[in-house]
Amino acid sequence: MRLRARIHDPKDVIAGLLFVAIGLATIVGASDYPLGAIRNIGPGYFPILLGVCLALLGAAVAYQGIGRDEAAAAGAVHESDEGLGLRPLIMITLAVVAFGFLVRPLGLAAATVALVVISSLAGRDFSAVRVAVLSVALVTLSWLIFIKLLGLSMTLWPR
Amino acid sequence: MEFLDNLALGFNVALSPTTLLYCMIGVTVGMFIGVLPGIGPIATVGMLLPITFHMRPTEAIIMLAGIYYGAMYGGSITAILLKLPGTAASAVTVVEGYPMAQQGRAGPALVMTTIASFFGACVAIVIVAAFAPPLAQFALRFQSPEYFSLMMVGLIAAAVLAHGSLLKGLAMAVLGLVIGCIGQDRNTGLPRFTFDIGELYEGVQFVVVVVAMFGLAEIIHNLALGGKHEILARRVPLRDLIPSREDLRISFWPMVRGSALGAVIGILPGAGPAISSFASYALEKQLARDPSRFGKGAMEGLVAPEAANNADSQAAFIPTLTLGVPGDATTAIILAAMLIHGITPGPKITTDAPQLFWGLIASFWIGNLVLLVLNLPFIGLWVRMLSIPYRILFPCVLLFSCIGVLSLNNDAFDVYLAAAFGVAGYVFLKLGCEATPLLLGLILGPMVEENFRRSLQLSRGDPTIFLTRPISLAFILVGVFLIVLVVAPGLRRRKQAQSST
Amino acid sequence: MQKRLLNGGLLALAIGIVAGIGLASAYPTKPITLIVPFPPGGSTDIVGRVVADGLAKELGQPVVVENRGGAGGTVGTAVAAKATPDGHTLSIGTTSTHAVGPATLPKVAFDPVKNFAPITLVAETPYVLVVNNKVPAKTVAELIALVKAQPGKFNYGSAGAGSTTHLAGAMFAHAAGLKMEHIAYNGNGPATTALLSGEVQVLMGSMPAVLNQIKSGAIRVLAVGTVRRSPELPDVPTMQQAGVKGFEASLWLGVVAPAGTPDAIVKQLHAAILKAVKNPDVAKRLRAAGAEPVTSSPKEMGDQIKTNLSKYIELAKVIGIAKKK
Repeated sequence: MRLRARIHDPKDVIAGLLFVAIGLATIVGASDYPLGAIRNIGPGYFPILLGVCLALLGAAVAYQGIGRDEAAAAGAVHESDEGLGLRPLIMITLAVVAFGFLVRPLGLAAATVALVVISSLAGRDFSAVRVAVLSVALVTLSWLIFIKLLGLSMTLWPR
Repeated sequence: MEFLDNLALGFNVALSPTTLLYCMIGVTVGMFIGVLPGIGPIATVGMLLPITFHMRPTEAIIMLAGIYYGAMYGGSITAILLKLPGTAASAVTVVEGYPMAQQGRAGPALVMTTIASFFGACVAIVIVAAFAPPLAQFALRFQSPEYFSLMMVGLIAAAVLAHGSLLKGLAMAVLGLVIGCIGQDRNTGLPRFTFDIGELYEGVQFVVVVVAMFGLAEIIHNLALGGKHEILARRVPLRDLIPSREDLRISFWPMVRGSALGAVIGILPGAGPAISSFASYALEKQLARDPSRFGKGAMEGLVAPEAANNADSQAAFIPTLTLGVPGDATTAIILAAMLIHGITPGPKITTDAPQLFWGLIASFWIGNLVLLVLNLPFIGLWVRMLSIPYRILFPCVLLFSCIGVLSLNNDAFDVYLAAAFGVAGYVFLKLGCEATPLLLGLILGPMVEENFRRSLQLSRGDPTIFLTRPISLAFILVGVFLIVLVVAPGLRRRKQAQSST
Repeated sequence: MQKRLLNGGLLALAIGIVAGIGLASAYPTKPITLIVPFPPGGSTDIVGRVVADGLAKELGQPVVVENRGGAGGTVGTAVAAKATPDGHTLSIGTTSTHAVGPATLPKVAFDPVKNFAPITLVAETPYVLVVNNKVPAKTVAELIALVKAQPGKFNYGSAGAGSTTHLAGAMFAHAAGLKMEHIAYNGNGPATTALLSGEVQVLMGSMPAVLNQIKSGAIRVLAVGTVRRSPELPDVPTMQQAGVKGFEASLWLGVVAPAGTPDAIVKQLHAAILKAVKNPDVAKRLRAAGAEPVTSSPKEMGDQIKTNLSKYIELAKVIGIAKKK
């Protein structure tokens, strides 16, 4: 049986390509910055150097993910796929963004409720009662700790 | 003998009832602040500063200092239990502490953390008390070339930190370096990678990245796994909360090494406790007989960094008190507090204000003792927190993280940034890339670059400056040695494979 | 008929007076936010908190400090510029936010003159010319001679390119015709450490950062950059007295409100802040932070902002760190 180049570890390939992409983006982004001379190295030198290193490392990582010989592939650990987790990813991110968006104009109470409601949609079961109780509890708790006790400059209600 | 006299004076001051009270208040407040993600000692000390206007100077400084190292400890609690470091320095605690919690060993982890912190404080107090002025002078010999060489060694240690693929670890470290380039270049004023966003001028804040890539990503990860579980499903009997004798035995030397390392790094102005903990971790991993245990709950990897960061935060007071130069951002505020209270830090502080100086040093020890005593009963409580149903726990953690991040600059942008890094953190988690080397790169990157460029500026373009200065040369040799250590086994293995075919 | 007219007139007068009083005492109606565009614990933050404390007592409403750090203070200042001009949001304006920042940063989201209604200065901290103890110069003249004899050998430090310490140092070099190498550090703390260790020999340091080093003898001060001698260092000549003509480098701090704030409120705030700053307790705390309390009229502060802005724009061009449009 001949060794065939199969993608034995797609994670490595994707990670590697991601690194290459970021590395190249860094080089492009830093291309405008002056490189300077040795007695006064400019702001472009380091980022470009790092971009090159990152791209090279990324290529190496991607290479590691393909073309392994069969023996190693047999021993490769395939973790049980828990799925991509797209729903929690989107919901949690959305919840955080919503919080950031709402907290200054509408105050802590509104932002907290939004966060609790949206993030609860990330879980498997959604119970309106639980979400409501949790929202009230958290608004009260965070008001107590952060506004009353610590005096952070947040308002509870809309300005 | 003078050393003992000084300590006696110190304890006399520190044990007086009002001082002791303020110390305890500071330490307790600090601990709870440390538990809250994102809100660190800096913000707290800043906010409580006006309250101290009406207190006596010694009491005020002791209380503020207590907040500082109390927060350090508090940060470890959530780091272990929730993979959410409360402060930047607790980032390393996550690496071993969180796996231990998942294995049901949260109790021993928390107890050993407390003990290690206390140990670090004890070692630091001896070093500070005995060697403060000469150490301060030594710190002045550390200039740009030395900082560069030291940070380079730190970066090489990043290769050690990766548990899985070495290549991926290196790539993450370099990525961290790249992210560290974001911001205004100090040397020329040119903004790099800021996309015209004002909030990025000072760069990406470490705390935001840590909270997002560890905490937020972990929440997403847990929810993807099902989300109905509790982190710890069974009730933990009291017996399991106590570390075993074996735990204590293997912890001793790592704590000693960690404390020493932390104390040394703490003296250097500008190198914060996060660096000590990373360095100590890397050291322990290199020295361990079975490095493969690291990343899965190795006690040495937990206690050494804890001792290190506590020793560091205390040693950081040496340059603050004797040179008037802050060791890091938090000591900068404490320095400001001293000035407001009319205390002039400087070489003469031991003679001008001996009560303050030695009282403060003694209060470190007492404060840590208070932490130890105060926390042992609480540990059962903290561990029990893990049995809260996850679907109730995670919104709390999420909310507190968001508020913490917001409190850094009162800018919603930081929250959006956290969301972005949360996504990135989760993506990297799924791809099998660890966040820890990235964090190290993020901290060290700016310093490596800055000091490298500055050294060459100072030497007017002569690269031998790194080799002609003895301390710098020493670090470079250590770095080379480390590289050989890492690469050599790989080379040997390849040679064996080649010779066996 | 006349009586009704009189009653009506009196009633109208009464309503007018009550309304007038009502309008005037309508401010402040809720807590005031004072934006400090720097992180907590720095000298600007301390000044801000001390002033907030004093002002709250005068106005009878809490004055809450909000830290909004970033980009030399310009991020927080941009936020302050956009606030509702009803007197309930104020901010601390400094040389850094209203002169140096706009002069050197490529993009600043506000106009320091047009977007603000200045109220009053509250403090001034000089920049001081300090040297490492090993430098064999005890006066400004000696230093100038020393540097001129070895051009390009001496280093002067700063808190970062485009920072006020950088421009102040460049100003000195330019005024005295000196050729010194500029070494940038990441903030006032590291710059001071560098001076202590001798990595740089000269520094135009901000007073709060270097005062205790001077007092403890760790570094030597040659002159202060303000036009008047500093009460903290009465024996130290000013730069002008030391022979550097027309030199002025100081960091001033003041309170500003967004443009469009009604004049009556500006006047009221002005009076209140003046009283607060003149309070001996407040003055003491300001001095301890290295800041000398000063006051001014709104117009004086506005003029100061304008002259400083043009001065630093000019200077930035000369040194070569002007905005690249």
